[in-house]
Amino acid sequence: MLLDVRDIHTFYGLSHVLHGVSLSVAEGRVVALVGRNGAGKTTTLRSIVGLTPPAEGSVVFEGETISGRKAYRNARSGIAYVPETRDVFSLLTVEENLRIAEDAASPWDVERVMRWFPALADLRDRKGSQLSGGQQQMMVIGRALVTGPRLLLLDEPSQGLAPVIVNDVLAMLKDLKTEGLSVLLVEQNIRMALELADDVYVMEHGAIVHHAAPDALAKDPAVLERYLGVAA
Amino acid sequence: MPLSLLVSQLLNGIAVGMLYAVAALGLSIIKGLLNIPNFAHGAFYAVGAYLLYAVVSATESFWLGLVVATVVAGGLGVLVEWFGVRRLYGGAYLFQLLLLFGVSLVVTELLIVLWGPEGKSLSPPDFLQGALIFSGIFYPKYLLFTTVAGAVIIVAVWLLIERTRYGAIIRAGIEKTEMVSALGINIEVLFTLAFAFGAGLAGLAGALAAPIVGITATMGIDMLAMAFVVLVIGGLGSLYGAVFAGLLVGITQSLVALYWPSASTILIYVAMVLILLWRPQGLLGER
Repeated sequence: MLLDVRDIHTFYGLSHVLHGVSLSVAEGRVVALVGRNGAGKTTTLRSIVGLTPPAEGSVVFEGETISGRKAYRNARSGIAYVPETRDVFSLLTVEENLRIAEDAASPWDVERVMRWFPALADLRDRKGSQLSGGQQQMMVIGRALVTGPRLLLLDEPSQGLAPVIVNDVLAMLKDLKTEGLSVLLVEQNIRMALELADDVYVMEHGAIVHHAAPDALAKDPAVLERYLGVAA
Repeated sequence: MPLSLLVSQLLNGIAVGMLYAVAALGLSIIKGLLNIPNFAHGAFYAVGAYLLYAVVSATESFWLGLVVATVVAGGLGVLVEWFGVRRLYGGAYLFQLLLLFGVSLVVTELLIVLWGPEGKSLSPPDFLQGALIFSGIFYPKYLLFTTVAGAVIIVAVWLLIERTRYGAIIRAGIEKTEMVSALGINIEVLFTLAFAFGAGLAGLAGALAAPIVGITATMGIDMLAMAFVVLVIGGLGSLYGAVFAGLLVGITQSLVALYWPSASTILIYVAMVLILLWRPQGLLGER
């Protein structure tokens, strides 16, 4: 197993956010984590990368326990994190945004990202703050790729994007999946999550409440309605 | 008032302003990236001046003295960050202030222990002694040197920050520290280096100032106050506001000194208050 999250408990100050979350991501798989706002999806990703380390339980990545290590070390060992807020460096140019993340050992270098998203190549010298939401999303995914990830943690890539752009992002993620990149995807857009994922976990109140294959979930209106508020 | 005197004083003000700018740039980098008000900045400045004095006394080499002043002040910055400041990131301002004020007192006393309570004076190196005189304008060579050196330092820092990958990492870190570490960059080392870099700039400014203002253990106190004023006038969020405001303050101070010498320093504080009332974010700061 590439990633094994074992019974983690995470706190923000005194507030207990994750109550024993366990999940796993196999090599080359796209795993989706869905659930309502506030269910603990973002905290799960932050716990894995080490920005909000779990107080209990463990995160095992490629056979090594990484919980308790600093975020920059987890990033170097191959976990790339794309936050919901995207966290574009607004004062840096597009090229600088990518350049500071670049790792020489990554199969993705800045030029390959530019070829993959020709739109970014045209905006190379533009400041991060001057990009549209869709362009920002492409850039931060590119920024994650140049770090040479073995696992991509992707938080709500479709958020705030126009439907046409969501389709672009979806197509991009399908490309990455074909390349064999392993992804843990947090997504509110259920259609997108079900279309991409090999495996779906449903979260509520800081715990995993359901685990199914996407086809099975799509045919389970009770679960969709109860945990996701989606009338299927 | 003869024009030549006005021009001399203007040139003088530019040189002093360069020193303010270099010291305040160091303060600005530390404030921007680490969000720490470096109250020990004046101490690093004084350390730079004493080190130049010590090296010149021992070896007669002015250049070596500048290098030692910068590097040792920077090294001292590493120690202060490593053993003190890093424990207080994100904590209350009061603790950061107390720690750095304490460091400043300890360093000032150490300078007195090592070099005695009376001040030292240091003449510029031989090749920078004397003055250029043209159409009645008297321009000491050392002030010209200070102006050029200040400009070179500022441009070098600008190139480092705006044109290199390290500089881009620093700019990214100022904006979003957490994301930088999530990209695999060891932000703690970056913080240590940035603090040391700022301290090194203070040391270099102190060394350059030594032949102009004389060397005393408390010389940093005046500079610290002035560097903070410069930072506030320039705008706390703006790295380069410090450069602009440093020159502005230096020139204003020198010109006012011609007409009303006793008011030249107090006037800067009055100007700061007025500027803050008009633009609370400082001249180049952004809201």
